[in-house]
Amino acid sequence: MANKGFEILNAGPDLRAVTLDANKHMFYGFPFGSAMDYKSVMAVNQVLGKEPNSKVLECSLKACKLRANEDSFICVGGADMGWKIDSETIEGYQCYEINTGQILSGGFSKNGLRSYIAFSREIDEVSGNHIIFQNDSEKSTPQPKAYQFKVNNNLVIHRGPEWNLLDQKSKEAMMIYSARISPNLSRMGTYLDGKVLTIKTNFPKQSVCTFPGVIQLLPSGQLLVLAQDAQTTGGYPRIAYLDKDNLADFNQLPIGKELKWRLEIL
Amino acid sequence: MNPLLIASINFNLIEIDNDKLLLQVTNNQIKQSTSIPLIAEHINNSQLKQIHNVVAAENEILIYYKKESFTELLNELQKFSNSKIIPDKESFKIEVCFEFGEDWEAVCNHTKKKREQIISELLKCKFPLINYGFQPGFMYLDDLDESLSVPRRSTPRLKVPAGTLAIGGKYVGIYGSESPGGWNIIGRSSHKIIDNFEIEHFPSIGQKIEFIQIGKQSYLRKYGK
Repeated sequence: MANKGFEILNAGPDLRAVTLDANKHMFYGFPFGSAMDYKSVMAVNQVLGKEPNSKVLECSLKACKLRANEDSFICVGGADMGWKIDSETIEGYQCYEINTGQILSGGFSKNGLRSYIAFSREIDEVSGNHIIFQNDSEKSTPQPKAYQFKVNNNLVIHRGPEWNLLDQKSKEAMMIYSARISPNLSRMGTYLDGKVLTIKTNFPKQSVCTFPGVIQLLPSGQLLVLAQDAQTTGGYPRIAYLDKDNLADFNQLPIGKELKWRLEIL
Repeated sequence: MNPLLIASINFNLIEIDNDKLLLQVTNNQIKQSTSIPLIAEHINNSQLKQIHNVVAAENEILIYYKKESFTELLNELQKFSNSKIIPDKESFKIEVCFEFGEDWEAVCNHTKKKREQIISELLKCKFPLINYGFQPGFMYLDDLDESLSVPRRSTPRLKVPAGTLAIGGKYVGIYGSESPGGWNIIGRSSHKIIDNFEIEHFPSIGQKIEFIQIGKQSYLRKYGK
Protein backbone atom coordinates (compact mmCIF):
# COMPACT_ATOMS: atom_id res chain seq x y z
CA MET A 1 0.00 0.00 0.00
CA ALA A 2 1.33 3.46 -0.87
CA ASN A 3 2.56 5.33 2.18
CA LYS A 4 1.31 8.89 1.84
CA GLY A 5 0.12 9.35 5.40
CA PHE A 6 -1.01 12.73 6.70
CA GLU A 7 0.62 16.13 6.54
CA ILE A 8 0.80 18.25 9.70
CA LEU A 9 -0.35 21.74 8.75
CA ASN A 10 -0.28 22.98 12.35
CA ALA A 11 1.04 20.90 15.25
CA GLY A 12 -0.57 22.99 18.01
CA PRO A 13 1.25 23.41 21.34
CA ASP A 14 2.17 19.74 21.82
CA LEU A 15 1.58 17.00 19.27
CA ARG A 16 3.21 13.60 19.66
CA ALA A 17 2.74 9.96 18.79
CA VAL A 18 2.19 7.82 21.90
CA THR A 19 1.39 4.28 22.95
CA LEU A 20 0.61 2.74 26.32
CA ASP A 21 4.11 1.28 26.64
CA ALA A 22 6.66 2.68 29.05
CA ASN A 23 10.18 3.40 27.87
CA LYS A 24 12.27 0.27 28.34
CA HIS A 25 15.39 2.10 29.49
CA MET A 26 14.33 3.79 32.71
CA PHE A 27 17.44 2.44 34.42
CA TYR A 28 19.43 4.85 32.23
CA GLY A 29 17.33 7.85 33.22
CA PHE A 30 14.74 7.73 30.46
CA PRO A 31 11.32 8.84 31.71
CA PHE A 32 8.38 6.45 31.84
CA GLY A 33 6.79 8.13 28.80
CA SER A 34 3.57 6.79 27.20
CA ALA A 35 0.13 8.37 26.79
CA MET A 36 -1.20 10.64 29.52
CA ASP A 37 -4.73 9.21 29.33
CA TYR A 38 -4.64 5.47 28.69
CA LYS A 39 -8.43 5.18 28.92
CA SER A 40 -9.00 7.42 25.91
CA VAL A 41 -6.20 5.75 23.94
CA MET A 42 -7.71 2.30 24.45
CA ALA A 43 -11.15 3.60 23.52
CA VAL A 44 -10.18 5.33 20.23
CA ASN A 45 -8.25 2.23 19.19
CA GLN A 46 -11.16 0.01 20.07
CA VAL A 47 -13.54 2.02 17.89
CA LEU A 48 -11.25 1.40 14.92
CA GLY A 49 -10.94 -2.28 15.80
CA LYS A 50 -7.26 -1.98 16.64
CA GLU A 51 -5.06 -3.32 19.42
CA PRO A 52 -5.53 -1.17 22.59
CA ASN A 53 -1.85 -0.30 22.55
CA SER A 54 -1.65 0.92 18.94
CA LYS A 55 0.14 4.21 18.43
CA VAL A 56 -2.09 7.32 18.39
CA LEU A 57 -1.54 11.06 18.25
CA GLU A 58 -1.82 13.04 21.49
CA CYS A 59 -2.73 16.75 21.29
CA SER A 60 -2.50 18.81 24.46
CA LEU A 61 -4.55 21.96 25.06
CA LYS A 62 -5.26 22.69 21.38
CA ALA A 63 -6.00 20.56 18.34
CA CYS A 64 -3.55 19.99 15.55
CA LYS A 65 -4.47 20.52 11.89
CA LEU A 66 -3.83 17.63 9.50
CA ARG A 67 -4.33 17.05 5.78
CA ALA A 68 -5.04 13.51 4.59
CA ASN A 69 -2.72 12.44 1.80
CA GLU A 70 -4.55 9.12 1.55
CA ASP A 71 -8.01 7.81 2.43
CA SER A 72 -8.30 6.62 6.01
CA PHE A 73 -10.67 5.94 8.87
CA ILE A 74 -10.05 7.99 11.98
CA CYS A 75 -11.42 8.25 15.50
CA VAL A 76 -10.91 11.14 17.92
CA GLY A 77 -11.34 10.93 21.69
CA GLY A 78 -10.34 12.36 25.05
CA ALA A 79 -10.85 16.10 25.57
CA ASP A 80 -13.39 17.74 23.25
CA MET A 81 -11.44 20.00 20.92
CA GLY A 82 -14.32 20.68 18.54
CA TRP A 83 -12.90 18.39 15.87
CA LYS A 84 -14.00 18.86 12.26
CA ILE A 85 -13.34 17.19 8.93
CA ASP A 86 -13.31 20.19 6.61
CA SER A 87 -16.33 22.11 7.95
CA GLU A 88 -18.26 19.14 9.32
CA THR A 89 -18.17 18.63 13.08
CA ILE A 90 -17.32 15.12 14.21
CA GLU A 91 -18.01 13.42 17.52
CA GLY A 92 -15.65 11.60 19.84
CA TYR A 93 -15.37 7.81 19.79
CA GLN A 94 -17.01 7.43 16.36
CA CYS A 95 -15.39 6.13 13.23
CA TYR A 96 -15.21 8.61 10.33
CA GLU A 97 -13.82 8.27 6.86
CA ILE A 98 -11.45 11.03 5.80
CA ASN A 99 -10.53 11.23 2.14
CA THR A 100 -7.42 12.43 0.40
CA GLY A 101 -7.18 16.21 0.54
CA GLN A 102 -9.62 16.64 3.44
CA ILE A 103 -8.53 18.55 6.54
CA LEU A 104 -8.92 17.45 10.15
CA SER A 105 -8.84 20.40 12.54
CA GLY A 106 -10.18 21.68 15.84
CA GLY A 107 -9.70 24.35 18.48
CA PHE A 108 -8.84 24.69 22.15
CA SER A 109 -10.04 21.94 24.47
CA LYS A 110 -13.51 22.63 25.81
CA ASN A 111 -13.34 20.03 28.54
CA GLY A 112 -10.30 18.08 29.57
CA LEU A 113 -6.80 18.77 28.35
CA ARG A 114 -5.64 16.08 25.96
CA SER A 115 -7.22 14.68 22.84
CA TYR A 116 -6.28 11.55 20.88
CA ILE A 117 -6.50 10.61 17.21
CA ALA A 118 -6.38 7.00 16.04
CA PHE A 119 -5.94 6.02 12.39
CA SER A 120 -7.02 2.84 10.68
CA ARG A 121 -3.43 2.18 9.59
CA GLU A 122 -0.55 1.80 12.06
CA ILE A 123 1.47 4.97 12.69
CA ASP A 124 5.15 4.39 12.11
CA GLU A 125 6.44 7.80 13.13
CA VAL A 126 5.89 11.52 13.12
CA SER A 127 8.72 12.85 11.03
CA GLY A 128 9.00 16.57 10.42
CA ASN A 129 5.53 17.60 9.30
CA HIS A 130 4.43 14.13 8.20
CA ILE A 131 2.64 11.27 9.89
CA ILE A 132 4.04 8.17 8.30
CA PHE A 133 2.24 4.82 8.43
CA GLN A 134 3.88 1.42 8.54
CA ASN A 135 4.27 -0.02 5.06
CA ASP A 136 2.51 -3.29 5.69
CA SER A 137 -0.36 -1.99 7.80
CA GLU A 138 -3.86 -2.48 6.46
CA LYS A 139 -6.99 -0.65 7.42
CA SER A 140 -8.69 -2.13 10.47
CA THR A 141 -12.40 -2.87 10.89
CA PRO A 142 -14.40 -0.26 12.83
CA GLN A 143 -16.30 -1.26 15.98
CA PRO A 144 -19.24 0.41 17.75
CA LYS A 145 -18.64 3.16 20.29
CA ALA A 146 -18.22 1.88 23.84
CA TYR A 147 -16.77 4.78 25.87
CA GLN A 148 -17.70 8.32 26.77
CA PHE A 149 -15.05 10.78 27.93
CA LYS A 150 -15.87 12.50 31.21
CA VAL A 151 -13.75 14.86 33.29
CA ASN A 152 -13.36 13.25 36.69
CA ASN A 153 -12.01 15.51 39.42
CA ASN A 154 -12.93 13.28 42.38
CA LEU A 155 -9.82 11.24 42.88
CA VAL A 156 -8.36 8.63 45.20
CA ILE A 157 -4.84 8.68 46.64
CA HIS A 158 -2.78 6.24 48.71
CA ARG A 159 -0.05 6.82 51.27
CA GLY A 160 3.42 7.23 49.80
CA PRO A 161 6.75 6.00 51.22
CA GLU A 162 7.30 9.27 53.16
CA TRP A 163 3.71 9.71 54.40
CA ASN A 164 4.84 9.50 57.99
CA LEU A 165 7.07 12.55 57.60
CA LEU A 166 3.90 14.71 57.46
CA ASP A 167 2.86 16.38 60.68
CA GLN A 168 -0.53 15.42 62.08
CA LYS A 169 -2.38 18.46 60.71
CA SER A 170 -1.01 17.86 57.24
CA LYS A 171 -1.97 14.19 57.38
CA GLU A 172 -5.50 15.18 58.26
CA ALA A 173 -5.54 17.74 55.46
CA MET A 174 -4.38 15.14 52.95
CA MET A 175 -7.18 12.72 53.82
CA ILE A 176 -9.75 14.88 52.09
CA TYR A 177 -7.94 17.53 50.09
CA SER A 178 -9.06 20.08 47.54
CA ALA A 179 -6.85 22.15 45.26
CA ARG A 180 -6.71 23.71 41.82
CA ILE A 181 -4.53 22.82 38.86
CA SER A 182 -1.89 25.56 38.62
CA PRO A 183 -0.72 27.00 35.28
CA ASN A 184 2.59 25.26 35.87
CA LEU A 185 1.83 21.95 34.20
CA SER A 186 3.47 19.75 31.61
CA ARG A 187 4.04 16.11 30.74
CA MET A 188 6.64 16.12 33.53
CA GLY A 189 4.28 17.13 36.31
CA THR A 190 1.59 19.45 37.65
CA TYR A 191 1.84 21.87 40.56
CA LEU A 192 -1.26 22.22 42.69
CA ASP A 193 -2.59 25.38 44.27
CA GLY A 194 -3.97 24.25 47.60
CA LYS A 195 -3.40 24.15 51.33
CA VAL A 196 0.28 24.33 52.26
CA LEU A 197 1.50 21.21 54.05
CA THR A 198 4.43 20.67 56.37
CA ILE A 199 6.66 17.82 57.46
CA LYS A 200 7.89 17.02 60.97
CA THR A 201 11.53 16.44 60.15
CA ASN A 202 13.89 17.26 57.32
CA PHE A 203 13.92 14.86 54.40
CA PRO A 204 17.42 13.42 53.92
CA LYS A 205 19.36 14.99 51.07
CA GLN A 206 19.42 11.97 48.83
CA SER A 207 17.57 11.06 45.70
CA VAL A 208 14.72 8.56 45.76
CA CYS A 209 12.86 6.73 43.00
CA THR A 210 9.82 8.46 41.56
CA PHE A 211 7.01 7.29 39.26
CA PRO A 212 4.03 8.77 37.39
CA GLY A 213 1.28 9.73 39.83
CA VAL A 214 3.52 10.20 42.83
CA ILE A 215 2.74 13.31 44.91
CA GLN A 216 5.83 15.17 46.12
CA LEU A 217 5.86 17.76 48.87
CA LEU A 218 8.09 20.68 47.91
CA PRO A 219 10.03 22.71 50.50
CA SER A 220 7.49 25.54 49.98
CA GLY A 221 4.69 23.23 51.18
CA GLN A 222 3.19 23.05 47.68
CA LEU A 223 2.31 19.70 46.11
CA LEU A 224 3.67 18.47 42.79
CA VAL A 225 2.09 15.50 41.03
CA LEU A 226 4.59 13.82 38.72
CA ALA A 227 3.46 12.68 35.30
CA GLN A 228 4.65 10.39 32.52
CA ASP A 229 7.74 12.38 31.49
CA ALA A 230 9.04 13.12 35.00
CA GLN A 231 12.60 12.34 36.02
CA THR A 232 13.04 8.81 37.31
CA THR A 233 14.57 9.98 40.60
CA GLY A 234 13.99 13.06 42.71
CA GLY A 235 14.88 14.70 45.98
CA TYR A 236 11.50 15.53 47.54
CA PRO A 237 9.41 13.40 49.91
CA ARG A 238 6.82 11.20 48.24
CA ILE A 239 3.95 11.67 50.62
CA ALA A 240 1.27 10.00 48.51
CA TYR A 241 0.39 8.75 45.05
CA LEU A 242 -2.69 8.82 42.87
CA ASP A 243 -4.59 5.61 42.43
CA LYS A 244 -3.53 4.20 39.07
CA ASP A 245 -7.07 4.39 37.69
CA ASN A 246 -7.16 8.09 38.53
CA LEU A 247 -3.85 9.15 37.00
CA ALA A 248 -5.39 9.31 33.52
CA ASP A 249 -8.28 11.38 34.97
CA PHE A 250 -5.86 13.73 36.71
CA ASN A 251 -3.84 14.20 33.52
CA GLN A 252 -7.00 15.48 31.80
CA LEU A 253 -7.66 18.28 34.31
CA PRO A 254 -7.06 21.69 32.75
CA ILE A 255 -5.45 24.75 34.33
CA GLY A 256 -7.64 26.24 37.07
CA LYS A 257 -9.82 23.15 37.45
CA GLU A 258 -10.69 22.27 41.03
CA LEU A 259 -10.02 18.74 42.20
CA LYS A 260 -10.70 16.76 45.33
CA TRP A 261 -9.18 13.59 46.57
CA ARG A 262 -9.64 11.25 49.46
CA LEU A 263 -7.09 8.95 51.02
CA GLU A 264 -7.71 5.23 50.80
CA ILE A 265 -5.53 3.07 53.00
CA LEU A 266 -4.44 -0.14 51.32
CA MET B 1 5.93 -7.95 54.04
CA ASN B 2 9.14 -9.61 55.19
CA PRO B 3 12.44 -8.00 54.18
CA LEU B 4 14.12 -9.47 51.12
CA LEU B 5 17.80 -10.34 50.97
CA ILE B 6 19.57 -9.43 47.73
CA ALA B 7 23.35 -9.59 47.38
CA SER B 8 23.53 -9.98 51.17
CA ILE B 9 21.68 -6.69 51.74
CA ASN B 10 18.29 -6.57 53.43
CA PHE B 11 15.56 -4.60 51.70
CA ASN B 12 12.15 -3.61 53.02
CA LEU B 13 9.44 -4.06 50.41
CA ILE B 14 6.65 -1.64 49.53
CA GLU B 15 4.15 -2.68 46.87
CA ILE B 16 2.68 0.17 44.81
CA ASP B 17 -0.39 -0.12 42.55
CA ASN B 18 0.11 -3.88 42.07
CA ASP B 19 2.68 -3.19 39.38
CA LYS B 20 5.62 -1.57 41.19
CA LEU B 21 7.82 -2.87 43.98
CA LEU B 22 9.97 -0.49 45.99
CA LEU B 23 12.99 -2.05 47.69
CA GLN B 24 14.42 0.12 50.44
CA VAL B 25 17.63 -0.64 52.29
CA THR B 26 16.72 -1.40 55.89
CA ASN B 27 17.86 1.10 58.50
CA ASN B 28 20.20 -1.25 60.29
CA GLN B 29 22.70 -1.38 57.41
CA ILE B 30 24.77 1.73 57.83
CA LYS B 31 27.34 0.94 55.21
CA GLN B 32 26.46 -1.53 52.50
CA SER B 33 29.08 -3.82 51.02
CA THR B 34 28.02 -3.02 47.49
CA SER B 35 26.30 -0.07 45.84
CA ILE B 36 22.54 -0.19 45.40
CA PRO B 37 22.65 0.98 41.76
CA LEU B 38 25.04 -1.91 41.04
CA ILE B 39 22.49 -4.37 42.44
CA ALA B 40 19.75 -2.62 40.47
CA GLU B 41 21.79 -2.94 37.30
CA HIS B 42 22.28 -6.65 37.99
CA ILE B 43 18.51 -7.09 38.32
CA ASN B 44 17.93 -5.00 35.19
CA ASN B 45 20.45 -6.99 33.17
CA SER B 46 19.03 -10.30 34.33
CA GLN B 47 16.06 -9.65 32.01
CA LEU B 48 13.56 -11.45 34.22
CA LYS B 49 10.35 -11.94 32.29
CA GLN B 50 8.32 -10.48 35.17
CA ILE B 51 10.14 -7.12 35.01
CA HIS B 52 9.42 -4.15 32.72
CA ASN B 53 11.87 -1.66 34.21
CA VAL B 54 14.28 -1.03 37.07
CA VAL B 55 15.21 2.35 38.55
CA ALA B 56 18.00 2.91 41.06
CA ALA B 57 18.53 5.59 43.68
CA GLU B 58 21.14 5.83 46.41
CA ASN B 59 19.38 3.53 48.86
CA GLU B 60 16.46 2.04 46.98
CA ILE B 61 15.39 0.24 43.85
CA LEU B 62 12.04 0.56 42.08
CA ILE B 63 10.95 -2.40 40.00
CA TYR B 64 8.10 -2.08 37.49
CA TYR B 65 6.71 -5.58 37.12
CA LYS B 66 4.04 -7.27 35.08
CA LYS B 67 0.68 -7.44 36.78
CA GLU B 68 -0.13 -10.67 38.55
CA SER B 69 3.50 -11.81 38.58
CA PHE B 70 4.33 -10.58 42.06
CA THR B 71 4.86 -13.97 43.68
CA GLU B 72 6.94 -15.19 40.74
CA LEU B 73 9.00 -11.99 40.91
CA LEU B 74 9.74 -12.48 44.61
CA ASN B 75 10.82 -16.05 43.94
CA GLU B 76 13.18 -14.86 41.23
CA LEU B 77 14.63 -12.05 43.37
CA GLN B 78 15.26 -14.51 46.21
CA LYS B 79 17.69 -16.31 43.91
CA PHE B 80 19.95 -13.24 44.19
CA SER B 81 20.05 -13.38 48.00
CA ASN B 82 23.73 -14.26 48.26
CA SER B 83 24.91 -13.10 44.84
CA LYS B 84 28.29 -11.45 44.75
CA ILE B 85 28.01 -8.57 42.32
CA ILE B 86 31.33 -7.21 41.20
CA PRO B 87 31.69 -4.25 38.87
CA ASP B 88 33.46 -4.56 35.54
CA LYS B 89 37.14 -3.89 36.21
CA GLU B 90 38.03 -2.73 32.73
CA SER B 91 38.06 1.05 32.45
CA PHE B 92 35.80 2.77 29.93
CA LYS B 93 37.29 5.51 27.80
CA ILE B 94 35.35 8.62 26.90
CA GLU B 95 36.72 11.30 24.59
CA VAL B 96 36.41 14.85 25.85
CA CYS B 97 36.99 18.22 24.23
CA PHE B 98 37.67 20.74 27.00
CA GLU B 99 37.41 23.68 24.60
CA PHE B 100 33.61 23.52 24.96
CA GLY B 101 33.87 24.37 28.67
CA GLU B 102 31.76 27.48 29.25
CA ASP B 103 32.40 27.71 32.98
CA TRP B 104 36.17 27.48 33.17
CA GLU B 105 36.42 30.92 34.68
CA ALA B 106 34.06 30.05 37.55
CA VAL B 107 35.72 26.66 38.05
CA CYS B 108 39.24 28.17 38.09
CA ASN B 109 38.18 30.94 40.44
CA HIS B 110 36.57 28.55 42.86
CA THR B 111 39.32 25.93 42.85
CA LYS B 112 42.10 28.54 42.60
CA LYS B 113 43.72 26.35 39.97
CA LYS B 114 44.61 26.96 36.35
CA ARG B 115 42.58 25.34 33.61
CA GLU B 116 45.55 23.30 32.32
CA GLN B 117 46.23 22.00 35.82
CA ILE B 118 42.60 20.93 36.31
CA ILE B 119 42.51 19.22 32.91
CA SER B 120 45.74 17.41 33.70
CA GLU B 121 44.29 16.18 37.02
CA LEU B 122 41.05 15.03 35.38
CA LEU B 123 42.98 13.12 32.71
CA LYS B 124 44.99 11.28 35.37
CA CYS B 125 41.93 10.11 37.31
CA LYS B 126 39.60 7.18 36.82
CA PHE B 127 36.09 8.04 37.97
CA PRO B 128 33.73 5.22 38.99
CA LEU B 129 30.26 5.48 37.46
CA ILE B 130 27.93 5.42 40.45
CA ASN B 131 24.55 5.80 38.76
CA TYR B 132 22.51 6.97 35.80
CA GLY B 133 19.56 9.27 36.31
CA PHE B 134 18.19 12.80 36.32
CA GLN B 135 17.95 12.87 32.51
CA PRO B 136 18.28 10.19 29.81
CA GLY B 137 21.84 8.88 29.88
CA PHE B 138 23.07 11.28 32.58
CA MET B 139 26.09 9.74 34.36
CA TYR B 140 27.13 10.49 37.94
CA LEU B 141 30.88 9.97 38.37
CA ASP B 142 32.45 9.74 41.82
CA ASP B 143 35.91 10.26 43.33
CA LEU B 144 36.43 13.83 42.20
CA ASP B 145 39.28 15.25 44.24
CA GLU B 146 37.91 17.60 46.92
CA SER B 147 40.12 20.40 45.61
CA LEU B 148 38.20 20.26 42.30
CA SER B 149 34.74 20.31 43.83
CA VAL B 150 32.63 23.31 42.69
CA PRO B 151 29.09 24.14 43.88
CA ARG B 152 26.30 24.07 41.30
CA ARG B 153 25.51 27.35 39.54
CA SER B 154 23.00 29.55 41.33
CA THR B 155 20.94 29.81 38.14
CA PRO B 156 20.63 26.66 36.04
CA ARG B 157 20.93 26.94 32.27
CA LEU B 158 17.77 26.23 30.34
CA LYS B 159 19.67 24.20 27.76
CA VAL B 160 22.81 22.15 28.22
CA PRO B 161 23.98 20.26 25.09
CA ALA B 162 24.10 16.47 24.97
CA GLY B 163 27.56 15.14 25.81
CA THR B 164 28.39 17.98 28.18
CA LEU B 165 31.00 17.22 30.87
CA ALA B 166 30.38 19.19 34.06
CA ILE B 167 31.20 19.48 37.75
CA GLY B 168 28.36 19.65 40.29
CA GLY B 169 29.49 19.69 43.91
CA LYS B 170 31.54 16.58 44.59
CA TYR B 171 30.55 14.81 41.36
CA VAL B 172 31.55 14.89 37.73
CA GLY B 173 28.54 14.50 35.46
CA ILE B 174 27.97 13.81 31.80
CA TYR B 175 24.72 14.92 30.18
CA GLY B 176 23.69 12.11 27.83
CA SER B 177 20.99 14.26 26.30
CA GLU B 178 20.19 17.95 25.97
CA SER B 179 18.42 19.25 29.06
CA PRO B 180 18.30 22.10 31.55
CA GLY B 181 21.09 21.89 34.10
CA GLY B 182 22.97 23.74 36.82
CA TRP B 183 26.36 22.02 36.78
CA ASN B 184 29.55 23.84 35.75
CA ILE B 185 30.38 23.03 32.14
CA ILE B 186 34.02 22.11 31.51
CA GLY B 187 33.84 20.26 28.20
CA ARG B 188 31.89 18.05 25.83
CA SER B 189 32.23 14.30 25.59
CA SER B 190 31.54 11.47 23.19
CA HIS B 191 28.81 10.13 25.50
CA LYS B 192 25.61 11.43 23.99
CA ILE B 193 22.33 9.96 22.98
CA ILE B 194 21.84 10.34 19.28
CA ASP B 195 19.42 8.70 16.85
CA ASN B 196 21.11 5.32 16.67
CA PHE B 197 22.54 5.09 20.17
CA GLU B 198 22.70 1.68 21.80
CA ILE B 199 22.29 1.16 25.52
CA GLU B 200 24.61 -1.86 25.26
CA HIS B 201 27.46 0.55 24.57
CA PHE B 202 26.94 2.48 27.81
CA PRO B 203 29.42 1.83 30.63
CA SER B 204 28.14 -0.23 33.52
CA ILE B 205 27.76 0.83 37.16
CA GLY B 206 31.04 0.76 39.04
CA GLN B 207 33.11 0.83 35.87
CA LYS B 208 35.99 3.35 35.97
CA ILE B 209 35.66 6.15 33.44
CA GLU B 210 38.83 7.52 31.87
CA PHE B 211 38.88 10.73 29.84
CA ILE B 212 40.82 11.04 26.62
CA GLN B 213 41.37 14.61 25.46
CA ILE B 214 40.65 15.54 21.85
CA GLY B 215 40.71 18.87 20.02
CA LYS B 216 37.68 20.79 18.86
CA GLN B 217 38.07 20.01 15.16
CA SER B 218 38.42 16.28 15.84
CA TYR B 219 35.42 16.38 18.14
CA LEU B 220 33.22 18.16 15.63
CA ARG B 221 34.30 15.80 12.86
CA LYS B 222 33.58 12.67 14.93
CA TYR B 223 30.60 13.64 17.04
CA GLY B 224 29.07 16.75 15.50
CA LYS B 225 28.02 19.76 17.57
